[in-house]
Amino acid sequence: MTIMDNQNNKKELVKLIQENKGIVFKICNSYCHNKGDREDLAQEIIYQLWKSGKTFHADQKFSTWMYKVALNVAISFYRKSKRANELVSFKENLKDIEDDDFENADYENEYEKTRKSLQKSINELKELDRALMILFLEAKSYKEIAEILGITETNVATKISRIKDKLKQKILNFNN
Amino acid sequence: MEDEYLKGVWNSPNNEIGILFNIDDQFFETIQIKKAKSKLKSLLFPKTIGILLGLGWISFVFMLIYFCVLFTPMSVGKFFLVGSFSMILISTVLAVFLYIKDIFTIKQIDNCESVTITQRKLATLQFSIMKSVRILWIQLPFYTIWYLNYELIMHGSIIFWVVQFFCTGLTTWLAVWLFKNINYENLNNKRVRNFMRGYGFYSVIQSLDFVKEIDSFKNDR
Repeated sequence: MTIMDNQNNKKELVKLIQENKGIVFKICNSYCHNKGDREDLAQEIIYQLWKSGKTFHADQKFSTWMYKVALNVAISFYRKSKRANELVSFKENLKDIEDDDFENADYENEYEKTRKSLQKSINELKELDRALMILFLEAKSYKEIAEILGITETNVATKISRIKDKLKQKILNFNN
Repeated sequence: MEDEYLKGVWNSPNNEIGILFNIDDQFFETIQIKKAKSKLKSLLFPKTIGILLGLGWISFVFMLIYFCVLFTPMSVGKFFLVGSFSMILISTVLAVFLYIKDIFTIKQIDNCESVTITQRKLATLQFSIMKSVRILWIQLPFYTIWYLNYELIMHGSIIFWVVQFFCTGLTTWLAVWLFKNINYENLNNKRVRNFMRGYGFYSVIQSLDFVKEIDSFKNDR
């Protein structure tokens, strides 16, 4: 039985999406440079989750299903806007990042500084590596990450250890 | 820097930069209207137009061959006309078939599948445009010979034959070269990349690069 079989289940799905919208926002921050795009992507992910509700079975783990849909939509959106943005200069994109609200963080606060550097470093990774690190930081198990991305657990472990080292180095560079 | 510290930073409430809209019935209604309007821009629309134009062209060429076979006497000219348009017909049918196959693939794309599977399907779709174009180019040389007849062959001037050989030779070389070279295996060939970039197929190159990236992401240990 799927979650979208009746009206009550639809409401249940919307409730689950509402409860997990933090995940959506973090994915949007990682795949979009500017606020407008982030908002469009968030709308698109939530709509696709709602539309794909019929494929979610009650015996599945909601977060696994949600990450699959959200990351697939985010990567497709990112690739589409990357093609469109080839007409926009790189400087303009950088300006967008600098203009963002969360970029105005208090630089005296070490924790905030690390958060900002972490987000920046994540945003610089390739699409699939980015998805992998998001799932790692979301504290997903290697098994769940492997299922979401469609790769083996061994591959997940090897990649995480490799990318994590690069990421930490980048954060240190940004912080200094 | 410990992993747990990074996870803590990532999951801090400050990192959930909210996008302010309510997820309610009104939200889904608005999005559905927006989606209906943008449907024309989707992947399906250009493919559907391609199929309709292709079917129109197939019907025209088929009728031409049919009437020519039935109502004209046997001649050298008839041989060239029927032969050329038959080849044009076959390649157009193949291209339309690929377009129809793509539409089925688009319909089957499911965001609920694992990321590498869905993204590979999407990226491969971009490349299929190239496959159809490759097949369509194969018919190019036949447009340069369909009008040949006994009179032209026996009494054509030197200039005619020079131009004829140049056009047929060039289009044959181009069609064969494209058919042989435009494929996934030749992605790193500089000439192929330059050709595709020059003819506005940059997004196809990007998709092919992404397919490669996905494959190496899946296989890399």
